[in-house]
Amino acid sequence: MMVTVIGGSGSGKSEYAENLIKELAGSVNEGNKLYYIATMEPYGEEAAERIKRHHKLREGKGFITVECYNNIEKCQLDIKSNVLLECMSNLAANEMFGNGIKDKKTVYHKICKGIDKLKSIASNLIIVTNDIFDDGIIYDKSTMEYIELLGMANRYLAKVSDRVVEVIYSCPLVII
Amino acid sequence: MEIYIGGCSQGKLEYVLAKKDYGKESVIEGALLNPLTDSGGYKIINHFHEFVRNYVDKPEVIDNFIRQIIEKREDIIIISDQIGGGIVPVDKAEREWRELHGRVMCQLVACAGHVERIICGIGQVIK
Repeated sequence: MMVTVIGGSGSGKSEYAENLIKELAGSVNEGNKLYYIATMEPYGEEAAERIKRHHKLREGKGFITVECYNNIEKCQLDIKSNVLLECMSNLAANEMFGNGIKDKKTVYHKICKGIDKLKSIASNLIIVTNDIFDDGIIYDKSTMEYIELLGMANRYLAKVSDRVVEVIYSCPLVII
Repeated sequence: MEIYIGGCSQGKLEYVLAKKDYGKESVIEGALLNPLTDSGGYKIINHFHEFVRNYVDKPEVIDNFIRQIIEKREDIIIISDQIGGGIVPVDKAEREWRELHGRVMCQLVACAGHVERIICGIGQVIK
């Protein structure tokens, strides 16, 4: 099963997604692994703090953490495992700005390939993404391109997911 | 405790006042709320996100305040904008405000008996 979990900043989407993948995975063991794909690069104090907070949230839940800041299509995971990727907004930013600015269409196709790959490997896949579309601000060109990219990626996620859940202050709202 | 959230200008206060048959005298503005001095003689906190913004440097004041309303104010109604739905702000204080507000709202929602999101003046029960 594939689920997309979307929410704004501080919405409680991570905690919801972690609990849901655990529920879907059932009992975790050698033949039924539980992966957490972390996409945030530990640059700077704030990122480090955020990563530490997320580590703490996941503690004792049986996750194998795989750091993968880009190229998720090359990510090596056991087949038929349970995968939580957090989150699409970091991955999209890393792919777009990580190594010189890239065109949104190229990045979009690469991200779609990565999603397809994870979906083909995992028996359960949850991808967390961010709702960044509601502040009405017109940003500079590259930021607007990034917002469009994430919008496209989110639409693709919704298309290939069995379920899309929006999390609002810890309350899950099933969209599809 | 009841919580009403949504984007700005969606008619949240109007919706709550009509539903509850309360007058404007029951309302305190989040921007004016001072938990250290106020008497608590209100039933509705409007623009709660502005209260969080005012005390972003003193999270312990916010912590104390929400602990008190969770314990003692079953009747309270909190109205807040949703502010987490944009690009991560460049300004550090703005970033901290968004994060803190989200976490405070998660705590409040966990203890609330009723939560609605208002859009175009229409309520959608989410808890």
